[in-house]
Order: sequence, then C-alpha cells, then structure tokens
Amino acid sequence: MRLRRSFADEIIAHAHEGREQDAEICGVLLGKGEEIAELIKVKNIDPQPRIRYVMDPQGLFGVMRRIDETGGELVAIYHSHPHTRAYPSETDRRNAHDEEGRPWWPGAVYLICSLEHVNQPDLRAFRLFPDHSEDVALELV
Amino acid sequence: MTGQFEHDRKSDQVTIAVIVPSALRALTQNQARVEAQGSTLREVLDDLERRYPGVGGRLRNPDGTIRRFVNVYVNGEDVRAKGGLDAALNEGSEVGIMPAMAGGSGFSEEEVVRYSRHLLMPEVGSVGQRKFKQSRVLVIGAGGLGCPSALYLAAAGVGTLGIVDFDEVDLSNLQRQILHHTHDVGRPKVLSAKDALYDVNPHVNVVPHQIALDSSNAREIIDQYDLIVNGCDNFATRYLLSDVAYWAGKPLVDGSILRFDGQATVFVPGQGCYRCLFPTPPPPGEVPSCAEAGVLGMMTGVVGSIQAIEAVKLILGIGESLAGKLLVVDALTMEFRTMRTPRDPNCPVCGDHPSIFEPIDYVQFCGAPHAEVPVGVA
Repeated sequence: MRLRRSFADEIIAHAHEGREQDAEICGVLLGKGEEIAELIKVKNIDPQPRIRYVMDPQGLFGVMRRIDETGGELVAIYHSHPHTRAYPSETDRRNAHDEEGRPWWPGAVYLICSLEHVNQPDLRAFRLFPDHSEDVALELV
Repeated sequence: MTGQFEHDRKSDQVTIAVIVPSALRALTQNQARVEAQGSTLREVLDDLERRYPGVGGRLRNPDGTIRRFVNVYVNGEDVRAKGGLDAALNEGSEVGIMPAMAGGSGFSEEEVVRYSRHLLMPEVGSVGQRKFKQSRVLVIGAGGLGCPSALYLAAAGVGTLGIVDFDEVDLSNLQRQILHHTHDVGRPKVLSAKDALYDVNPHVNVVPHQIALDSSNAREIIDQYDLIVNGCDNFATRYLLSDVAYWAGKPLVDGSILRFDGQATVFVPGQGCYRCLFPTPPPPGEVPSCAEAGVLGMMTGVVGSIQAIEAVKLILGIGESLAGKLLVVDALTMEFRTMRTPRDPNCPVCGDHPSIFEPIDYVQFCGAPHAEVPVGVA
C-alpha cells in the first residue's frame, strides 16, 4: 500500500494526541483504489479507551456522508496502540467481520500506529481475516 | 400524504432512500443508494430484503434485531437512541447503514506471547485468560500485601485493577512495598503503584482511588468490582470490608502479617466472614502494628502472593479456596497450617438471625481514635 507521508504523519500526530490522554485514537482514510484523498478522524467512544476503540456512530455517519458525496471508497481504517506493539488483536479481526466471517469492509487495509516506544512511532498495515491477519507492505511516498 | 414519493399498498408508506455500505453493494447491483418503502425502519428493512435478498441477513440477527456491529441512521441520527426498528420514517427520510469500526480488547499476538505460560495451562488457557481480562479486582491498600497482590494480578492480565490507598510513599515502606521506588517517596501510593503496574502490563486498566475507605464510601467503590483483595493494615477497615463485601455479595480475600507471622483466608458470602472468625476486635494496643513491632519484608510477598493466588482461583473457578479456612504461616519454622473456620450461625452480620444490616462506626467499634487504629495481624 502506498501512503503519502503527510497522511502517515497525521496518523502519528493523532496517535501522540491520544497517548497524552492515555487513549487509543481512530479514524479512516477515504479515496479511490489505492489513492488516498482524505483522512477523517473519528472519536473513540469506548469506555476503556486505553485498550480499546469504538468509533463514534455519529462520526461514522460523517464518514458515510463523505463516501456518498464523493463517490469514494473506504481504503483504510486506522487506530493506535498507545502502549503496545503494532499488531492486530483477535478482537480487531473479529470486529472486522460479521458472525459468518464476511468482512464488513471488503478490501480495507487496517493501519495500526504503535507508540510503545514513544520516540519511534511504528505504523504498520494489515489485512484482517477471521482467523489471522496478513502484513501489508506500507510504502510511504 | 402527498409529494413525489410512490405510495405502496398502505397509504402511510413512503419511499425512503437507503445508503448502503460497500460490503452490501454486491447484493444491491453495486448501487450505493437504493430505495425501499415503509413507515418504520422495520418495514423499510423488510422491504429492502424483498428487493435485495440477502441484505437483511447482513444487517439483522435471526430474531430480527439489528446486529451489534451495524449502525443504522435515520436522518443522520443513530436509531439505537431513536426507537430502534420502530423509529418512524416520513417523506424525505434517509436511512444510512454503516458497519461499526471497533477493536482492541482481544488478545493481540503480543498478549499471546506475554501470557503464554498461563495459556499453556489447561486450568487457565484462553478461556481463563479471557476471564482475567474481564475481571475487576479491587485491592485495598498499596502497602506490604497490596503491592505483591496487585503486581501478580496485573502481570496475569486482570482487566481492571482498582487500588485504594489514601497515603503517600514513605522511605520506611520500601523495605517491603515492592511497587514503590526510591524516587516515589512523597508521591501518592496509588499513583506510584499505577506507574509500576503499567510498566509491567500496559493492558491492565488501573483505577486509583486515593481515599480513606470508610462507612460512607466503601459500598459505592466495592460495587464497581467483582472481588476484593484486602491488604489493609487496621482492624476498623478489616471489619468494614468484611461487612460491606458480605452485603454486596462479593468475595473478599483477606490477609494479614506481623513480624514473622502471616495469615490468609477467603470470605465468600454465606461461608463465613471476619466477624465469624473474630466477633470483636482486640482491645486497643493489645496487638501491635507493623510500625510498632516490625515485619519481615519477605512475609508480605508470601502472604500477598497467596492472596493473589486465591483471587485467581476464584476468578477461574478452580481448586479449593481458603473459604471457611484460615491459613497460618510461621516464617521461623516455615510451617503452613490450615484450620477450619466455619461460618458462625450467631454472627450478627452473616448469621441465621442477623442484627446488623448497614455499616457502623468501625473506628469506635475498634475502640481507638482514627489516627491510632491498631495495625497488623488479627
């Protein structure tokens, strides 16, 4: 996946903001094909934001509205791990699929920004499957 | 009803625009916007399923309710707050469908490695590890007993760990209170403990309660947890916790130490409480405190670890707990003795005919002014 450095920097800055509140942050990248046009931050409303994220339904409505207006697609979903490594959890995988294992966002790449080492942000990309995840090479351009 | 909307069989049915997420477009001939009819969300979703078979099953459970990971909006508002499936739709209403985006609480590959020595044990395994993660344990006191208990519980992956302590770290604590470090002297113990626990396991949600537990606040705090580990250092708090834990229906893992001696027990509601064991407190001054008589630092680790073991046994539902038993440890002979301590049917709190139903003045009950509450082993 090719990602403009400015978007990567924006995700990392967002992750740092979240870490100051001891919380995971989240958002989406919209575009067409692999070309990303827009980053939208969405509020994390999980009651335990330190270890989980749930995107605010109202924020997601805004995302849906933008997709509808622009005719774009959801290319990637990002969230941060303020204290742990950049790897998807079982819950990340489960929540990405319905009970029958069908993806809610077919083709979407999941980006995780780890601030386990606060001075060395680690942004990684994955594709999630019900029972495993696959690394996606992330090329910053 | 008037307007450009087509009317269906019923006069109150109107055509509603539905915005469909990409996951469902294979079922809607790749259309991002479709139409359906109905005067409520339920009718619109039913009609959507008639027009585009398969869509309904992606959005709703077999019992017809909206799936947990689906957000449905009517005119931009989440319908969960707007009557759900019964939300009324009017001309011009717009229904939006958007899968939820969430994650984080499961086991990451990092956690699988972190907890691998527990995951290997069939008595724990991933089922037990999930129980740890979902459990909420309250540790009373970030002192000699609370430190090792909290440390092992955090390391094991207990999801929420509350720590109650009003005090600050003193240099004389560091001989045994292993969560605090020299640079923490003067800091609130709950914050020092929180830092140390996060250093060991960042997945744990540590909740500091920097207060002195008393009759007015104990119930409110205890109600937020599943299980209490008592590492307090005075009789008034011990009786308070025993009573309130019983009334709240929460198991209480009790421990105490003095010099080379230690004790541990578990109070499960209905199987005895601290009052069954010790109906009245000792006269003030009869039992010296650790500050007066001293305590072998390592003994706090022994008894605190035993309390953490009892806590995880209760969380996992394995083994035989110390409920109805008192473990007595003597470090000088290194003897561990367990004696039966049955529930007292005449106990005024948990007996057959209880006479106490709410918190009393425990400081007065223990016969000492607040600042000089006896400390140490019961």
